Amino acid sequence: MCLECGCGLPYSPSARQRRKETAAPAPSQETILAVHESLLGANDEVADKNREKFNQHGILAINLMSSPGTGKTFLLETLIPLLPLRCGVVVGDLETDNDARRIARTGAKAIQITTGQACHLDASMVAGALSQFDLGELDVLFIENVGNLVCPASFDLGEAKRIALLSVCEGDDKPAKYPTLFHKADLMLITKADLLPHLPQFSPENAEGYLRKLANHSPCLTISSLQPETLTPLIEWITQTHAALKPSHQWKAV
Amino acid sequence: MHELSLCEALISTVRRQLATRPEYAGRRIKSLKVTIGALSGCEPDLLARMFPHASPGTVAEGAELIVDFQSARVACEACGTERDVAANLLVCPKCGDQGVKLVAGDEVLLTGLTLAEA
Repeated sequence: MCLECGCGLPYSPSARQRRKETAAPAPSQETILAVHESLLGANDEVADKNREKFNQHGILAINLMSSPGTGKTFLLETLIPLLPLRCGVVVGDLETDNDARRIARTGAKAIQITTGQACHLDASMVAGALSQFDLGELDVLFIENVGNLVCPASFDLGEAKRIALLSVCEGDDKPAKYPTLFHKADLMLITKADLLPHLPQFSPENAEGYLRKLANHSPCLTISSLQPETLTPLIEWITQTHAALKPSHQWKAV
Repeated sequence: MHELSLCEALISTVRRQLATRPEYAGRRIKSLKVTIGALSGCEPDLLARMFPHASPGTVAEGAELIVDFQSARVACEACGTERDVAANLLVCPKCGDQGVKLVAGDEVLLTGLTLAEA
């Protein structure tokens, strides 16, 4: 309390004045440099190189992102045999090559990246995996990211498209809870739709509504990998997106 | 939780910046300023807590990390409004249109370096 007049202020006017004087910056030779550089710049450079490689070979690279257990691997197992395109897969997991082995059974080449404790794939991990593919033999490269709705969103891998998956076993407000990942998605898939009759608390319309609140106009498809006919719109989306890449690729080759 | 790798990225960004300015070689870094966007996927508090563990033995040893937060900011293509918005409500705050451009809030940037007196 102020001891000069008892006014209740934490410092008396004269004490405040003294504080001001001592707080004044002492003249120094400090140098302040203004910078404007993204911390992800090094990753983005590698991502651009990956992107250039994909473009050169006319490959549609798709980054699949979701929480663990939305059925990314099972979707690829069902989808790849139905796609009229040559597919390759890069799979990221903390441990095991189980997913790569499952996908390899479809006949598609699958490379597992075991990230250890890393919670996401980065561009250089993908660059390392690319060297194990014959890129001339591929039309589509699926990159199955580590199951995580937070970290993968920050890392550009060089992909052309990002697919965000959300299973009906989760909350339909996931896009509102994890906007960083969902606002940049080029397609949202609501998976495990065969379970919808048992999960009245999940509304695909609500999930799409939350995506629209992120100013994201991307398509939203409801699918079940157990019901391959529900994958038809997804197959169309992939083939059309791939076809849209092709002309510029062929134009360069001529 | 990738803030530790972001700290490492921060330190290599600082190293790269200093390499382009040889006139400041050998100067101790007093503080670093970073701007973290609401949609960047980086948690400001975690980054600040990780930094003292990542900096010893590097060019940034002993430096203070100053973190600025940047809200998501959209510019509406329909009505021209530009405003800060909540990270999970990115439509135009005025007219509700979805045709908006995210003008800030999705980056993690190194914005400033203070070098101690020579």
